[in-house]
Amino acid sequence: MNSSALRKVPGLLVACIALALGCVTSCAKKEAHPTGTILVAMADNSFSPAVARIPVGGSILFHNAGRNDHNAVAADKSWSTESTFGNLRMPPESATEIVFKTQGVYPYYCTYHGTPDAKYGMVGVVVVGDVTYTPQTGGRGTLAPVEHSSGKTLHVPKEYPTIQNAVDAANPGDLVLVDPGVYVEAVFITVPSITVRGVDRNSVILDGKFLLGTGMMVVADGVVIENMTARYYTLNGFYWTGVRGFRGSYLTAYDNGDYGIYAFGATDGVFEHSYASGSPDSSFYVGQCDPCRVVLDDVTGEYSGLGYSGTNSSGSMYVINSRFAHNRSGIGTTTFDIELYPPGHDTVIVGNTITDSGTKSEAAGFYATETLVGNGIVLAGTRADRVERNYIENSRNHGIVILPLLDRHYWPSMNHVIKGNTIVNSGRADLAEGGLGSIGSCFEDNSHLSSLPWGLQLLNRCGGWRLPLGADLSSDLAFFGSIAQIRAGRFTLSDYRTRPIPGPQPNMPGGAAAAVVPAVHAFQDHHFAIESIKTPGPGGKRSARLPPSLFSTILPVTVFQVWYVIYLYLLPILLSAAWIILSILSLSKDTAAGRKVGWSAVLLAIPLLGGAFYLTTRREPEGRAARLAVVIAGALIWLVAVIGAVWLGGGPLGPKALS
Amino acid sequence: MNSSPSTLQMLTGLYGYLIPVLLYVMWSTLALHDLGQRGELGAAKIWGWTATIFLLPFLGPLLYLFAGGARLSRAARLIGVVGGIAVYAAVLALALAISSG
Repeated sequence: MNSSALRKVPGLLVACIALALGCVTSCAKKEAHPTGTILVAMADNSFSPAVARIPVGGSILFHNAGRNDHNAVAADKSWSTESTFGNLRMPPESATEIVFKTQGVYPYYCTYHGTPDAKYGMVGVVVVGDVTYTPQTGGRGTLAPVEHSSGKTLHVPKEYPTIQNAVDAANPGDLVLVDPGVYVEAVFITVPSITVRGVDRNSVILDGKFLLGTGMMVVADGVVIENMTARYYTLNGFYWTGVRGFRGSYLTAYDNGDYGIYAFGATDGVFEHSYASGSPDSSFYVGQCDPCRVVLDDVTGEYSGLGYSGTNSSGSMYVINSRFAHNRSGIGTTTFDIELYPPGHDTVIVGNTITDSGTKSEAAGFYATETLVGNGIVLAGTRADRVERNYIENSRNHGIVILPLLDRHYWPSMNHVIKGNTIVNSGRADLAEGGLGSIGSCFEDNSHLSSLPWGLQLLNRCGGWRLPLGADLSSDLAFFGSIAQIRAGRFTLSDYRTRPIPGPQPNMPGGAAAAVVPAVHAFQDHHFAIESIKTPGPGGKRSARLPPSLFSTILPVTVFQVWYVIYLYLLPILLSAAWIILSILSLSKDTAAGRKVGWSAVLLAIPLLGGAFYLTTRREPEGRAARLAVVIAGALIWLVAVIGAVWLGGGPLGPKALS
Repeated sequence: MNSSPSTLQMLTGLYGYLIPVLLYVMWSTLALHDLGQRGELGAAKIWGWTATIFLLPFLGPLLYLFAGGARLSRAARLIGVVGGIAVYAAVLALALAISSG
C-alpha cells in the first residue's frame, strides 16, 4: 500500500460530523473517475516505481521517502520538480505533483544521484499515453518473448562474473544458473522469458548491504526468478514492473526496506513457495492491475507492515494456501488514488492461515501500515472481495474488518463475501464492518465469537436480506484517531534492518536440473481449484492467547483515542438520546394532541437536531433554564471536541503535517 | 454492482446503525426515570425491575413500560416505543428498497 491519506484528516472529519448532524449535501462523493496519478517514491537512491505509465493529462506525485535530499529533472529539461516545488532541493518527506499533458516517453534523473542522460544511477521514466516503451536491452533492440526453453545455460560466476553480465548476455528462453555465493548487485533484467535460477535457495544470496535499491528488477515479459535469496536492499528484494507474464518460485526475501517480493503494473503472474519477511510496507505486494490474473500460492509473509498488500489490484487476483504471521496486519486489500485503476476489487482470499497480527512490536512497519494495524484481514476501500475458509487467530483488533479508505476520494468498502472462515481470539471483534457507505457485504458460516456491530452475520447473510448495520462510525473515528496519533509522531516502529533472519527454506524440487519453463503465461499454467481448498487448522504450535484487550481497545489509553472515540463518537449519541428523552418527557405534559403528533414526528425523524430544536423553542417557563442548559452546554462541549480533533489531526493549529 | 453508494444509501446505513442504539438508550432511560418516580413500590420490586431493564436489552424496558405499571402517559409510551420502531422499520424498508446488492 502507499498512502497520502494522512494529509486529509480534517476534511473528512468535518464531512463525517456534518453528516452526523444531518447534513445531507456534499457528504457522499460522486463516483470517482480515475485521476491517473501515480506516486513515485524517491528512495536512497532510486525512484520507485522506476517506470511509471500514466494517461495523457495524468500526473506523477513525487514523494521523498528517503533520508537524503532528492529531485527529479527530465533528461530533455522539459520539466523538473524544481518548477512545481519551488526549490531544486526536495528534503525528506516533501512532495510535489507534476502533470503531463503531452504523450511521450520522459526519462528523468536526480541531479544529486543520477547522470544527466538519465541512464545511470538514480533515474526513472514516465511513459505518458499509449506509446510503446522498450527499456534498454544492452543495445540489442527489442527481443520477443518465447514460450519454450532454448536449452542453453549461462553459468554465474564460471562464465559470467556477475548475474548482471549473464542476464544481459542471455537470449529469450535461456537459463541463467547461479552458483552459491553472496552477490552484491542490483540486477536489472531487460531480456524477456529468461529464467534466473539459484543452485541452492539458501546459499545463493543477493545482498544490498543496505546501500543498493532492489535486488532484482524485471522490466521484460515472461521472466522467471527461482531458488535464491535477496536481503538488505533499501527498497525491494524481487520486483517485476510493467510486464506481462512473470513467476517467482522458491524465493526468500528478508529485511528489505520497502517490499519483499513485488509486482507493480504487471499481469499474468505467479508467486509461489516463497518466503518474505521484515519489510516496512509488505512482504508480498501486487499493485495496480485490472484484471491482474495473478496468484500467490503457498507463500509465507512475516514481520512486515502487511503480509500481503494489494492496492488497486483487481480481477482474477488470488491469495491462497498461504501463511501470514507476526505482521502489523496480515492481509490488506486497499484502494488509493495515487496508483492507477481505483477502486481495487475482486480479490479472492482463500485457505490462508493468519496469526498474531499487530500483537507485539516485532514487525517492521511505516506510518501507513500503522493506520491499519492489528487486523487479520482488512478490506479497506475495495469492492467485491471474496474471503473464504481462512484461519485467523490472535489479531490485536479485528479478525476480518471492512472499512472505508480516504485518499483524494472517499472509498467505501462494499459488496464483499465473507464465508466459512474460522476466527479465534481477536482483541476487539472477530468480524467487523464500519464506516459510512459500507454496504452490500455478506457474512455466512464464519466460526466466530464476536462481531462489531452485533449481529453482523445474523442480519447480513449471503442468501438473504442485508440490513444496513455497517455505518458504525467508531471504526472511521478510531482510524482518524490513529492518523492523528501518527501525525503527532506518537508511534514506534521496529527497524526493518534488524528483523529476524529466517531459517533455511526448502529448495526447489529438482534444483539446478529442474525443467525450464518461461513465464509467458504463468497464470494460465498454474493450476488451482478454489472450491476444493479446505480451511487450514491452527498449525502445529499454537501461539499464546492475547491478553484481555480491555485496557487497550475498550478503554482508550491515549489522549487521541479518548478524544476521537469517546468525544466524537459517543458524545453525539449521548446528546441525541438525552435530548430526545427530555423532549418526550416534556412533550408528554403538553395538552394539545396536534402538537404532540407533529413534534413526535420531528423528534424521531431528525435524531439529533429534532430534540435540540424542541428543547430550545418550547416556551413553557417551568424548566426552561435547564432545557437551554442541556442543549447549549452539550453542543458547546461537542464543538470543542470537534475543534480539538481537527487540531490533533494536524489542522492549521496542529502538529506539523508529515508532508 | 460496484458503483459507489448514493447519499441516500449512506444516510440509511448511518440511521440504520444508529437508531437501534438510540432506542435502546431511550427506552431504558424512560423506564428507569419512571421507576424512580414510584415511591409506592417496595425495594424488592424496584431492584427487580432495575435488574430486568439492565439485563434484558430492549425487552426489559418494554416489559416495564407496558406491563410494569408505568406512570408515564400512554401517549409518551407510544411515541417512544411504537414511533421509534416505526421509524426504524421505515429506514430498513428504504434501505432494502434502494440496496445495490
